[in-house]
Parts: sequence; structure tokens; C-alpha cells
Amino acid sequence: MGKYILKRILQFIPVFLGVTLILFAMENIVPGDPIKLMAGEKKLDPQTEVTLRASYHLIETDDNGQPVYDESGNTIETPMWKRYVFYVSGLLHGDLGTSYQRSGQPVADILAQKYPYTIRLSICAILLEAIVGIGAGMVSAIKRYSFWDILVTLVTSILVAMPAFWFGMLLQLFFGIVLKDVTGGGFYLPISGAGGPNAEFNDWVYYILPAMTLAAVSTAYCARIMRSQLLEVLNQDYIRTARAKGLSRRDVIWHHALKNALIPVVTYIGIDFGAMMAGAILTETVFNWPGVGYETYRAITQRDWPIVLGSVTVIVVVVMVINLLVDVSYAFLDPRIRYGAGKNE
Amino acid sequence: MARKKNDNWVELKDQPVPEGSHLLEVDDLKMYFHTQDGVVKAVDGVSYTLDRGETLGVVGESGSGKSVTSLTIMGLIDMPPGKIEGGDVRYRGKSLLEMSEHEMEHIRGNDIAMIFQDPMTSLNPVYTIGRQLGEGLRLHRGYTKEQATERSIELLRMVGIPNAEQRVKDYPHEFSGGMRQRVMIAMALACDPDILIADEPTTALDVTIQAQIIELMKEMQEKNGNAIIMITHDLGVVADVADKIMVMYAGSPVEFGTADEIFYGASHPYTWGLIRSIPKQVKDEKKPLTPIKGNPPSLVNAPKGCPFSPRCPYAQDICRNKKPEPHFVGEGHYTKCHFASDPDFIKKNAPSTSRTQNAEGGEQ
Repeated sequence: MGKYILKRILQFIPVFLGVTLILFAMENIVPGDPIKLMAGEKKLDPQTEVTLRASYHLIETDDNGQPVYDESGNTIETPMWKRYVFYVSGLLHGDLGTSYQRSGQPVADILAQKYPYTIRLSICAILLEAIVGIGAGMVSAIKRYSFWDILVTLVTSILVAMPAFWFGMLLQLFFGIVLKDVTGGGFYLPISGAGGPNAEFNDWVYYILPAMTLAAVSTAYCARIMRSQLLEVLNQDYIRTARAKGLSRRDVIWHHALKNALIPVVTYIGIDFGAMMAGAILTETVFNWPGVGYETYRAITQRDWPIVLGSVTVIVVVVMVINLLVDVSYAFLDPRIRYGAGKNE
Repeated sequence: MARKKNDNWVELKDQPVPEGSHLLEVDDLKMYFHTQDGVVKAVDGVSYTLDRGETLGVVGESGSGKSVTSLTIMGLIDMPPGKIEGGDVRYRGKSLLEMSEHEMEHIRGNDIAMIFQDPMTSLNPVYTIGRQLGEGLRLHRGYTKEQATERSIELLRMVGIPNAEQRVKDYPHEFSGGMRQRVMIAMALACDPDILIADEPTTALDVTIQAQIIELMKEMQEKNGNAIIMITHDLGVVADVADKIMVMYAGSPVEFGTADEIFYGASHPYTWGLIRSIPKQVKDEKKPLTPIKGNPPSLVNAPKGCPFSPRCPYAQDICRNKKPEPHFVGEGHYTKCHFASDPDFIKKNAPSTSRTQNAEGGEQ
């Protein structure tokens, strides 16, 4: 097992280099000069522009960070490969670069500020998904063709078909506006992620609607996977064996069927958690949620490449680590899976 | 898990079999399935009795209702779609069909245990052998985990699994097919049941392993005195273990008798067909096998007359129009064939294997 994990971690290196390289190349392909964008409508003083470019290593500098000029007195643009090497060596020192737009704030600081919101939202959503999805799937499978099964099938079909952002807007409309009107302001839920010192609610209340939105589609999938898996497992020969032993239907489901049925569901939830940790751009945008997804979206629209690069780099690492954890968790759920050498290792 | 040793349940196993009745009595049992295509008469009037130490062989093709009969006895048929349309199953004089689900849970595994066809899929892949073996003991006997493990090791040793102390911690995928079937037998015998139902226990195994498994079941029976219901489509399997044989066709028995009566005095054309289908080991003579032509009838629209008539080479008009009644060839040996009462018919058409060859000592 240890060997396997080490092997997987070593595989991170090429993936990581590949992703950053592609993003770096994109920065050069996408039109729009970041320094000009920074200035906006204003005309930049040439000296300031050179200093700025030098500080972002867009032009060649000497050891003191001063710009280097060629014979005709022009600055020399740093070739992409050189900037990439510079960026990666910075990463290895924990330096994710500096934002173009946010008045020269280090990217690492910005992400450190945003990530907790995304993590907390992801955890809320994943809990919702696991509890509601697995629960609904189980009810649906055990009471097959009953009213509850039909209800679950219907609701999951609708949720799967519905765009997440639109579902978010409907929730805002219903819980934030209609409900507020109907109850005369007595009961409603916040429709945006603004908390802070002037918050009208407890912190956790702000998580309800975004978490529901973020979890909606995956909960529906989770319920469907759970239903089909449980139905399949309940048809297995070993379930009949367990019944023949004298176990009650309930014991058979809880002790024999569930663990087998959960294996694919856990995979799905794990991978989904990785995706959520990458920041849910749509959900975070609809709810003005101050997480990495919204920040990445903002950075892309404003050509704030250091933030895009930095957040994607962090996301790649997080997703890879979560996927590794999911793969490792198989071995605990399913004894048939053993990574690396045999069990006598 | 051991939370069921409560209520006023009387351990039926400790009760004497009431005077005049048998350990297990199946009495004109009828199990129909109500499907969209119509009523499937999967079991249509099966009767037999069984006592401790006895072995009943149930023989027939796929879909002849062999398995459904035993699953009905175990109460493992989902109802609906299944429905008991008549008859009774009595265990030590008590009707199993009238028992509640909760009472049946006491019976299953404790009084009547079952092993299944495919040992590769009949064990739960995510739990250790020890846990699955001990489950019944913890449930029915209230054993602690340690007691159950200890007993599991004993059981594994009993069924001939070497290095049982270690193997008890292994998972099913670490066992071979034959070893898994041994585990299944150990599991079924864990609570010392009165009746062991074996549903094609050797079908999925290598020929060499088949003999071992049959041998093991016989050996266990001698030790424990349990009754065995051996379900198979292979007459060869029951040849040397069964005391009585019931040949089933289309949901009901067509011939019933002792093993000798079936092998050497069969009087139903279907039984003849089965006997002829057993490959013979004759040197230097490559004769084609003699299969029974055609397929078993649909159980939805069963033939009006004898269910075997569409495939029977001797079928006459009477066969196609009238259901044959059991004809007693000997005491306890009956045949459902219109011509069973005609000794000439039997003499002329019965496979030559039987008595003549037996006199020389070979049955195959």
C-alpha cells in the first residue's frame, strides 16, 4: 500500500507540470495585455509601465530587479520558457506569484482568504449529497415501485435536467423573496453569501441555499447510483445465502447489501467532492460567494493570470490528493482490491 | 447481531417428531407466480416425506420447479409475485407456510439450511469467511464473537480446509471454487440443522471436485444425522447418495421411487430420457449421446394432457388430452404415465442399461 501511494504521488509531478505549462501557454495566446488592462482608461507613464513589467518579470531584469535594455534602448520581453521556469521555481518555494489587479497582493494570500469559504461550502454540500442521496436511493430501492420510489425517480430526473445556476435562482426567488413576502418578513433565507459583522443571520444560515444548489445535481445522481446498485446487490446470490441463514430482511440490507452497494457510491461522492473543492463557479457566482470559484471567474474576466494560474495549480493538487484518497478508500471497502504487492507484504 | 434469542420461541429441533408424521412433509404443494404473461405454475402439486438421515434426490431439467420447491420450503420466494395456491409443508408436524416471517427466520439456517449452486457468488465478497460462518451461530445460538470464531475454525477443519486458524480470517476471493463450496457446507451445517437442502451443489465445480463435495456431504450426514434434499439435473450425482428420487417435470413429479427403483426399474419415458442422457464410459465406441429432444414446456400454457407429451416419443392421443394419474408400480414407487401399467410397453422401451448391466456391477 505504501509503495502504491508513493507511486501515485510521483505521478502528480507530470500532471502538475503539464497543467501549469498549458495554462502558461494560454496566457500567451489569449489576447489582452495585463499591464494595459491594469491601467484601464488611463494612459500609463512609460517609466511606470517598465517598472511594472519588470516587477512581474514580463521583461528581462538584472539581479537587482532593474530592467535590461537592448542596444536600441528597448526593453527585452522575457521568453515564455524563462518565465515558466521562474514561476515553477517560485511555486517550489511556496510563492504563487502576485496578482495583476488586486494591487499587487500575493496570490497565496488571496487564495488563503478564499479557500476556507469554498471548503466549508463543499463540506456542507457533500454532507447533504451523501445523506440525502444515499437515503433517497435506499428508500427507492427497498420500496421499489412504491409511491416513494416514483417520487425519488421523478425528482432526480428533474434535478439532473435542471441547470444548477437556474436552480439556485429559483431557490433565491422562493426562499429569499416569495417566502419573505408571504410570511411578512418573518421567515426567509439569505440569498447571497454576504456575512460579516453586519450579518442578519448566523453564519451557517448563509450556507443553506448555496449548499443546496451545489449539491442538487450530484445528489440526484447519487440517489440514482445508490438505487441501482442496491437493487443489483439485492439480486446477488450472497444475499440469498444471508437470507437462508435466517437473517431478517433488515439485517440483510444493513449488514450484507449496504457495504457492497456503497462501493461505487463512495467513489462518486469522492470524485464529486474533488470537483466541488475546485470551486463551483456557477453556484459561487449566483450567490456572490467569496470562494475560489468566484475568484477564478473574476480573474479570468479581468485577465488576472497569476490568480488563474495559482488557483488552478492549487485546485489540481487538491483534486489529485482527493482522488488518491478515494482510491485508497476502496481497499478498505472492498477486500478484493489490494494495491501493490499481495497481502503478505 | 445476536439479538434474537428472545421471545417464547420453542426450539423445534428439540421437539420429538409427532407420532404418525415425518420430519418434513410436503403435501401437494402448489406455488404459482402471477406475472404479466399469466400464471406460471412453477410448482404444481409436489408431495414427499423426509426423515432424519434420509437423502432425497430431486432431479429434473432447468425450469422444472426443483429449486422453487425448496425455496418455497425455506420461505424465500417473494410473495408477490409468488403465491401459494394450495398444499402444505410441515416440519416436525408444524406448518411452515402458516409461520410468520419472524418465526421462519428461526427456522432458516437453524432447522433447515441451504447451500447453493454457485459457490463463487454465494459468499459475500466484503466479509471474511469467519464472519460469515459465525453469523448464523451468533444469530441462532447467541454466541459471542470469540465463540463464533472458535466454532468457525472447528467447522472449517471439519469440512477439510487446511490451516483453518489462518483461513478463517481470509476473504472469499482467496478461496478456490471447491474450497468455497466446502465453506458453504460448513456454513449450512453450523447450527446443526435437521435438513440440508443442496441446490445443485456441484454444478459449478470441476468434475474431480464434485465427487469430493458429494463425499463430504455424505460424511457430514453420517456424523450429524441430518436429512438431505439434493437437487440436481444430473442423475449421476444422486445415484450413490439418494435413498429416494423424485423426477420432476414442468412443476410436478413424474416419477418417484427409491434410487434402485428409479435406476433399474424406471417406468416413465422422461426418466428413461434422463438415464439415456448420462454419458457412458465405453472404450472404443464413440456413440452419440441420446438427448431428450425439444424444450421443457412453458409453465404459463402448460399442455392440456401429460406435460411431457409434446416431447415424448411414445405419445398417443390420450397423452395429449388427459393428465395421467399416478400409477403405483411398486410400494412408494409411482409414475405419472398412461402406459405405466403396461409391462410390455416398459419392457420394450426402457433403456437397456438398467438391470442387465447392473448385474455385472456397473451402473454407467
